[in-house]
Amino acid sequence: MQAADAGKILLFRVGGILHGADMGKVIKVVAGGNLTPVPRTPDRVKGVILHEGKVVPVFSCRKSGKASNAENLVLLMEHRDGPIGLGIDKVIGVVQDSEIVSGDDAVKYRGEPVQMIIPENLVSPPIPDK
Amino acid sequence: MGALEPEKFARAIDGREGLILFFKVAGLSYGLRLTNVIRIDEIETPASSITLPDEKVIKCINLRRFFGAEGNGSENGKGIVIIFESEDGQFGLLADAVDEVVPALEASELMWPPQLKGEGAKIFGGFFRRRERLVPAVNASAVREAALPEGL
Repeated sequence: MQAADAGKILLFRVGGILHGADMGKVIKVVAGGNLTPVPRTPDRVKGVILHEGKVVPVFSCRKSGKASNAENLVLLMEHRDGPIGLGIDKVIGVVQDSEIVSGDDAVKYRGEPVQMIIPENLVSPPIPDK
Repeated sequence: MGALEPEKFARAIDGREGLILFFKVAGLSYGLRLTNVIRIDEIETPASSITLPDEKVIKCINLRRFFGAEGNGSENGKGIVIIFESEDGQFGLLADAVDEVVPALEASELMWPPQLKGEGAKIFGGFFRRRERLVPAVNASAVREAALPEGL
């Protein structure tokens, strides 16, 4: 994390939906070609990759179904237990967090809803409201 | 049931403490140390039990089903059974094919990442690093513990 990244948001798409991540948590974006699937793990786990000699789990943020193979990039982010990856389709850009505004029911960028990604929630998703 | 490439595996089993077996299940590679492996045989049809040359019948776990893969065997219908000796007796793991058997020095072992919770952490002790790729390291005893109650 660089001090210059504070207050910036990385925008990217997964399954056509716009997502954002705090640049302060972003390590890098790499090609996901060497992903190893791991059976007997939750559906949201796409597999693992080797990064700088360590095993890094890669997650999917799609709302339903098994993680897709369409996510051909991996966004590496910092997590308290070590780096984690998120499968993504395409990087859109980097914007100031002041450009992401709160709407009635979602945060938005230029009028389009943005799903903000929190690394801790990828590893241990919050229990949905009943 | 016929022995698989006897020369290769005789050599492997003799020095099994320092060797790693890589094998395929549904197109994906897995690895395990040959410690506690007593034989590896080719089989014609995957079954829930097999009869050994000494007439002993042992239970087998179909890794395709255990790993949630489709189909019941490899493309040609044949497969392999990896037979283990454990404190609770012998058991087999059914897989599709042997990839290779290599000295442990050629495949460093990496820990399971703490960020990844769940059952997989028991089933796979970690990963082998082989040619810059990660291969899940199968813990055969944990597979047996998890699979036999499920009837796999």
